[in-house]
Formats: sequence, C-alpha cells, structure tokens
Amino acid sequence: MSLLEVKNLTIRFGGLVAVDDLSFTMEEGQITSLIGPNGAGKTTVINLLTGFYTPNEGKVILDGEDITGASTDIVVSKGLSRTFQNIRLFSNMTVEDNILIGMQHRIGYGSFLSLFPNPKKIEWEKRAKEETTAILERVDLSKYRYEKSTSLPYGKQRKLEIGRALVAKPKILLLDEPAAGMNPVEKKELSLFIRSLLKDVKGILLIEHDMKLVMDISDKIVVLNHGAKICEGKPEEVQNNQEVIEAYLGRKGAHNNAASK
Amino acid sequence: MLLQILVNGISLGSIYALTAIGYSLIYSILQLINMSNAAVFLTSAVIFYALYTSLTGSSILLTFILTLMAAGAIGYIIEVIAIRPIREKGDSNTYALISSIGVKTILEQICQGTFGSEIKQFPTLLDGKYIDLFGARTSAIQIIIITTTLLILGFMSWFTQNNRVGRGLRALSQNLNACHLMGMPVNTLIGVSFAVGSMLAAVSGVAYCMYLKSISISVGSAIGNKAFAATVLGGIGELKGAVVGGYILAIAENLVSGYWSMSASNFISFGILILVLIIRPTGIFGRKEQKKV
Repeated sequence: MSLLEVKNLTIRFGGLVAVDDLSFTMEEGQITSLIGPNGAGKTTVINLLTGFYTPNEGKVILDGEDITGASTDIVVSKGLSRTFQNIRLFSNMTVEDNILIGMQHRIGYGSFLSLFPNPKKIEWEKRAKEETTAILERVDLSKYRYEKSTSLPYGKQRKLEIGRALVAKPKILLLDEPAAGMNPVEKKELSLFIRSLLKDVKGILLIEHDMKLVMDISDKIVVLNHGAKICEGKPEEVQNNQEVIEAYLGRKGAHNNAASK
Repeated sequence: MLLQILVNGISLGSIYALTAIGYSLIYSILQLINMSNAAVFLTSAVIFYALYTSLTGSSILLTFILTLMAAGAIGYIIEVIAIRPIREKGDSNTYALISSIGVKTILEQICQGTFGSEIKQFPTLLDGKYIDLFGARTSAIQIIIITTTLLILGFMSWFTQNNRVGRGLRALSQNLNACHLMGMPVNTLIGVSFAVGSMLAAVSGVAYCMYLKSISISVGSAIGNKAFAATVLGGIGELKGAVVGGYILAIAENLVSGYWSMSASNFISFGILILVLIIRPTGIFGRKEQKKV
C-alpha cells in the first residue's frame, strides 16, 4: 500500500481546469517531488491535498484512509502537515509559542478546562513544553526559544516553520518551496536537513523550483504542466524526458538543447 | 473634587473597557467592527432584569451567572448565523459589518418589544453603602465594578498566555489565513471569541445598570458607542488599547462634566473619536499595518 494515493484528481474553476485528472503515489520512506513551470497547478494540488479546496472529481487516500474533501483540520489530524512558500509564522509570538500552535490539535483538553488550573491541563501543558524542547533541538533553534519569531534570520524562520509542522506528528510532511530565497550554501545545508527529516516522518512531498535541489534529493518526481501530469519517475528519467524539457524550455529551446548535447 | 471625578471616571471607564475589549477582540481576528456588541450589552441587561424579576427570585449571583451563559450563547449564535456564512463565502468585511448592524437592530427591537420603552428600577448590590476615600465618596457598587473589572482583565491576560484556547486566539489574531491553512479549527475559535466578547459586554451591561440602579432601552447604544470610541482611541485590535482608551475617555468625560457642564461630556467622547481618526488613526497602541505589495 502506498503512503499517499492520488487518484484522478480534478478541479475546475469556472471553465478553467486547474488540475486535470492527476494521479500519482507516494511511497513510504521516500521524498517525492512535485515540479512544473509557473502556473502548472502545483499550489492548487497542495490546496486540494490539504483540504483547502474540495476536488470536483478524484480521491486522496492517505495511508489507506480516504481524506478526499475533508476539512483542513481533519487533514492535519490524519497526518498531513505543511509549510508555506512565503513563510507564515505568527510574527508577534515567541518561537516556543509558534511550535505550541503546531500541536494545537493534539493537546487533549478542551475549551472549558482551559479556563482554570486543573491537573489535566497542567499535565498536557507540561508534555507540550517537553515536546517543544525536543522539536526545537531537532531543528536546532533551542537558543531562540523565547525570542520573537520574526527576529530570526530567514533560514531559521524556515526551520521554525518545519518544526511547527513536525510537532503535529504528521505521516507526510509537505514542503512548499523551502529553498525559496536561499543562497547556495543555505540550500546545500537545507537539502541535507530535508533528507534527515525522513527519520521523523514517513514521507516528504516537496514542491520546489530549484532543480538542482530536487534532482539531488528526490526519490521520485512528478511533473505537472497545465494542471496535468506529464511525467512521473526517478530524477534521471524525468531529466531526459522530452515532454518535460519542452514544458520548461519550450519546443524550440528543447531542440537547441538537444543540438548542443 | 478631583479625586471624586477620578473615582467616578474609573468606575465608568471599567464599564467602557469591558465592552471595548469585545470590539477589539473581534477586530483583531477578523478586522470586523462587530456592531452587535452594543446590542448584546443591552440584551444582557434586559435578560438579567427579566430573570431577576421573574425566575430566579432575588439571587443576584445566580441571575448573573445565567445571564453570562445566555450572553455567551448569543455571541456564539450571532457568529454562526450572521457572520460565518459571509466570512466563508469570502465576501468583503463590509458585508459582515452591515450584517452585524442588522443583528444589532434586531436585538434592540426584540428588547424594546419585550421590555417596553419606560425606565425601570434595576437591582443593585449593597445599596446606599459607601466609603470615604480621602474625601471622595466611593459607593460599594463602584468598588465592586472596579475590582471585578481588574479581576477580569487579569484573567484575560492570563488566559491568552498559557493554555490551548488562549494561544489559539492569539495565533488567530495574527494570521487567520495561516491558521486556516495549517488546519486549526478556526470556526470554533472565532465562535469562542464572539462568546467571550459578548460575555464581557454582559458584565459591562449588568454592571452599568446596577451603577445607575435603573434600566432603559437606550443604555445599549449610549454606552456601546462610547465603548467603540474608546476602542478606536486606544487602537482598535489591541486589547490593552481598549482598556486604556476606556479609562481615558471616561475620566475625560467626568472631568468635563465636573468642571464644565454635564451635557458637554457627550461631545467630548465623540470629539475625541474624530480627533483621533484625523491625527492618529491607529490610536494609542495601534500599529500601522504593513502590507507587502
């Protein structure tokens, strides 16, 4: 059984078919990347997977469980957490609070017990703080614990966002352009870090524009163009696929590229 | 004289502050001015009166607790019926604002229909008891109102810090969209914030009528509008701003009515509102919103 199974996923906005009959699978212990030129529909796919949009047709099956059309909070509790292309941290809250927000749905006491001190709440808050300590160590941010999240340098903010997603204990971690805005050194470090995340989650779905990063760390790549899948396979297979080259470089560019080889 | 004015100002300021927090709380999350807050103020006072005179005999505490529960439920229901459908369609906040004005009018009409338009006597606590505070006559109900408000404010700042719901509300007020995308139960939390705002308005409404020892149908809009002015003065969306704005406004009003004339005090609140909007639209504590283009 695949970790994630996307079957015939389709969504239409008015007359526009934004995602067209998309099917792919993710396997356990692997990094799967979703790539495609700008406007290919990658973000729409994420929004479909995370429950922000409901597909017109198709199914999303996470670890054997059908999560098609479930709301965003259900999807998170079923084990799919994400980070954002443009970092969305809670800017006026501390690093610690940002992590705690990530485990919001796992904290097991309700609104009523929030109102006054009681053993259940104290126990849960203690556990939450301990998990926060562990996660902060994992993403190497322990010394920033009580600082405001926006005071961190850019690369550390990314790591905080990943930490916030990890603390939700997801099966799948969805990284939306994690390398955006990073320099080559940071990217190198990031790719090692992402690879190491497979120890924490069952699978990683990576959306990324940086081809070097994608080719380096992916086990499998799914290529989208105009909302439809044009190729799926190992990095080397994708790299040599004529349709992929055309999607990125255009027909003429692809021709020149072939000529120059 | 000055001390007396301060005592009166702080008592009234407490009432403004509690209602103002309701405006500010909702604004900080939804950027919506929830006009129905003023009507909840009135409705709660009317519910208190109705319960006290018919059902609960003469237990002020029991009546108060029931009123609070009713106000919380009303707030939650307002959000579910009148705000959520508009919010979820993604329509502009202007529509939600108009919807909240609609709710305000409906609630006021219901109150008028059931309560009538005359002024009635309202139950109060420790009537006629007062202490002399360096020459300022401080009535027992004033002391009760001020201490209750301080306790509530203390509770609110504790509540938003170290528990699940409080943290959620803070996150919501910073980035609603991210909360939604991250999969937080946004709707429930917004409902809770409406319930909290309404309960504060209820405390404020009941306290004000106890202070006046009377209730009439006009208390809602009178105090509701001033509490709104206080919110803007302090910086809308900032909880401490609502509190500070409430106290400043009430003290200013009392200074004017003490040293000049009673009728001029009303001009002061709305004069200050307009001045703030012209000179510093973000209010005392408000931050300028930075939007990246």
